[in-house]
Amino acid sequence: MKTFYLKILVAILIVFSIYISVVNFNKYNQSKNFQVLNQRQSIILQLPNSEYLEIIAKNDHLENENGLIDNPFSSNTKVQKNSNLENSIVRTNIDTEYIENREVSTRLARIIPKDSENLRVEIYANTQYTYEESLRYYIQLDYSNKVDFKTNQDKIYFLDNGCTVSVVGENTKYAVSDNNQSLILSRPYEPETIFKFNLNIKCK
Amino acid sequence: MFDILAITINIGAIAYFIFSLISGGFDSFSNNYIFIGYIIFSTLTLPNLISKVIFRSRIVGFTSALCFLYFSILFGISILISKIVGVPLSEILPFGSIFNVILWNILFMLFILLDEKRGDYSEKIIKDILSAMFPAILFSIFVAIFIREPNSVVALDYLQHLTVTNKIFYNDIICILPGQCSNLFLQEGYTTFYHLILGYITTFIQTDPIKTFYVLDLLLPIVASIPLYYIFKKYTANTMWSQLGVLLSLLVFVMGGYDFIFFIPQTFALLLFLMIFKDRELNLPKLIIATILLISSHFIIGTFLSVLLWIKFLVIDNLKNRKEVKIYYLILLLSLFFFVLANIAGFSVEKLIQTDSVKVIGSLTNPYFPNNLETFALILGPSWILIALAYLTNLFEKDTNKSSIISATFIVISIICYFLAPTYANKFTIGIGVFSSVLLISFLSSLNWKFFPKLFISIFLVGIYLVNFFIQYNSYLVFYTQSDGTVSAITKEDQAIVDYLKENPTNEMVISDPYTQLIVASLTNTDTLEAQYMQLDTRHNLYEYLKDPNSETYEGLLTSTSFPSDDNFVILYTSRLYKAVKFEDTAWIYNIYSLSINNTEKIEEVDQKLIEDQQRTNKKPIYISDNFVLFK
Repeated sequence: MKTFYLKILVAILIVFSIYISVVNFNKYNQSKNFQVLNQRQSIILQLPNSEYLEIIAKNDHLENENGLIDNPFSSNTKVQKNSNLENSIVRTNIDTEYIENREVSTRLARIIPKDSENLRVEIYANTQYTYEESLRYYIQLDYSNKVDFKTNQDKIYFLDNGCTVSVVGENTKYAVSDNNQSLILSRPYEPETIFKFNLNIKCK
Repeated sequence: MFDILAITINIGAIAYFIFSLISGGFDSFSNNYIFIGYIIFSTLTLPNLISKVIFRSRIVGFTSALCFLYFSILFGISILISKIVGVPLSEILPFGSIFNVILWNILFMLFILLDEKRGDYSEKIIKDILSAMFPAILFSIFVAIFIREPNSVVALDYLQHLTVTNKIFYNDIICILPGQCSNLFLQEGYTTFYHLILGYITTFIQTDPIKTFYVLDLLLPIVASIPLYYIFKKYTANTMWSQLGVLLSLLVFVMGGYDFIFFIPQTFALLLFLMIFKDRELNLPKLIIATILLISSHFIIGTFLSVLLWIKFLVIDNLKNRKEVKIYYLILLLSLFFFVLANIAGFSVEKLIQTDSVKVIGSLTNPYFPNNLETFALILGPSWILIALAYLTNLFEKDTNKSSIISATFIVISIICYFLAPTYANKFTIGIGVFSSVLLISFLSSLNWKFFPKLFISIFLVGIYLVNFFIQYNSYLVFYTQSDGTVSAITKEDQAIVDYLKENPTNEMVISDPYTQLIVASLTNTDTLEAQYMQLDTRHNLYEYLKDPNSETYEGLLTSTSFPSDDNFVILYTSRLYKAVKFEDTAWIYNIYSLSINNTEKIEEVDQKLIEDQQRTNKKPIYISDNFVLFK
């Protein structure tokens, strides 16, 4: 009798495993609306409309009520990217960029693809500045074209050449650059300022 | 019938070689896939035949593993002949490879003919071997068609190990540790036991190494299927379950362990381990010899696998009753939870103890929570659910199934080592595919399925494993995917420098980017500055010099780690270096494993300052191709 129940359980688990395998296989085969190019000095998200989004550490900056304070990663003394690591070091589906500026400031960016349209971006910036209440840390998402940024509830988005790109952040303020090409995200300064936001990329 | 089949195939192969020899001469063999495959298969299965025919022992067991020492003995005899006759090793060693093939054929005939006198024992063995090889052949066909590109090399390890066999063959250097032959081994992880076998397969017989590695990757699973099948047969006594076990074991892509994917020292150790593990009569003296053999094949993984054998011998074989087994299972489970939780809490050997190694490498070598859990889960994918069910059922079962206890132990120890996180912890997952399959197959076979349910379960399990294997293998291949879509470590642009250095061999050390150095060292037997393991400060100084060539940065380069103290070196400027300077692509100077595979960025113009500074040291540029400029 016990064997009978075990057989049923095995059959159920095999069916469940088949389901997971099919999901995994579909996920693997899905053509994504973005391609992560984690090379050189930035992370580029290539879109099917031939345009791209770029996250560059050198653009990170701190501002208070009087204006610009500093660019903590204007010069870098160490850059590490997992994209060109030989496979002796285990690979994951996540793209990472680790940057150091004289070991005083470090910045880890993680790009985590969720499915064919969504990816999560996490940036952990460790810097050493004197705390001020008005001090904020800014990061920048540069787009390769001039676009019209629109806001809708908690997200900011734009449409360009058949692609809609939305940014949904957690406790993040948005601003748009004067040239209408960059989205600037900011958070109150902390020794470790963490940005976490989702990028939704839908293309026709 | 199986005897006749095996003899016919062998005679057919030999007839084909004679025909090839007459029509194309000796040179045609170096690129002949069938010849390369024949050399590989006969070399890797020769110890099994020696064990069976000469030592009258089992075809798979402790003796067959020990018989791999035959290659070391043969090499020793070659050295002796070389010294007595006074001819270089390069003239003696090819005869060793040919002798292996002749010996294999003699032993094969004896194996069949001698057994005929005593009954039909060889018929049964060949039937078992063909049963074992059948799923493995299907597996290799699948890999060849759906995963690998023809003639692709997708393990830099092969290129690294090739430098050792090159030095033995071309430079008459005899070494016990690979570091004594080649400067590519920063740490000694094994003896040259493995390299001699690799040499007999490729360098010593002068077959094309790239084609050899490709064929080797397809034949290794077929060779490994023999001990695997015997292990499953030992525990299930059923052909179908055993064949399924072989297939499932092969269909686990162990990232870092590479169980049956590549023939490298650690997987060679696993192959030896499986043969030893299959032996029913392992006693203390045999175990001591087995330990020495395994450790000589790989100092870390060999030791790890020996520990598993000792645990089996000292603990598992002495578990007497159900109560002890139950307690043992619980201890395993608690240990597992403890070490996984310790890792989640932040404990890691490489972070706490191996900080010096981490500094040399340039970064941590393991992923950490939660990525490590995710990475580990991906090894078996959804099959972990079934493995967990098998484990829990065994925990509460009344029967004390030995195979389940052994496999559960090995899996748990692998997991513990992985989560203890020493450097390259993923290597400790080696063998997890085999033992999870043993656990699963033992569990399933104990449920007494009828034929059709068994068939359906087998098909579904193969499907589940196949999907995960396909995804994992292709994820691994991302690093080897070149900008033009070709998936191989060898780029077509690099062929120019390989051809140039073959035509114009040099005794000077070639200094270039780490990836080019590896290609040059392995495919042209030219000395380089530690090839892909070029030290971080040297990479930095080379980059600084190329960015701003002047006497100060040149001095900086000369004083870098491992840099030759004499002036006997040349700088090879490549597209990889050109791109690094042009685009400030500097990731490769901060991590020893950070390598750029693509060499496509055409060198439009070499910096005039670099030419002038090199002229200062009496070196002029030689334009080899769009991608290479040699300052000589």
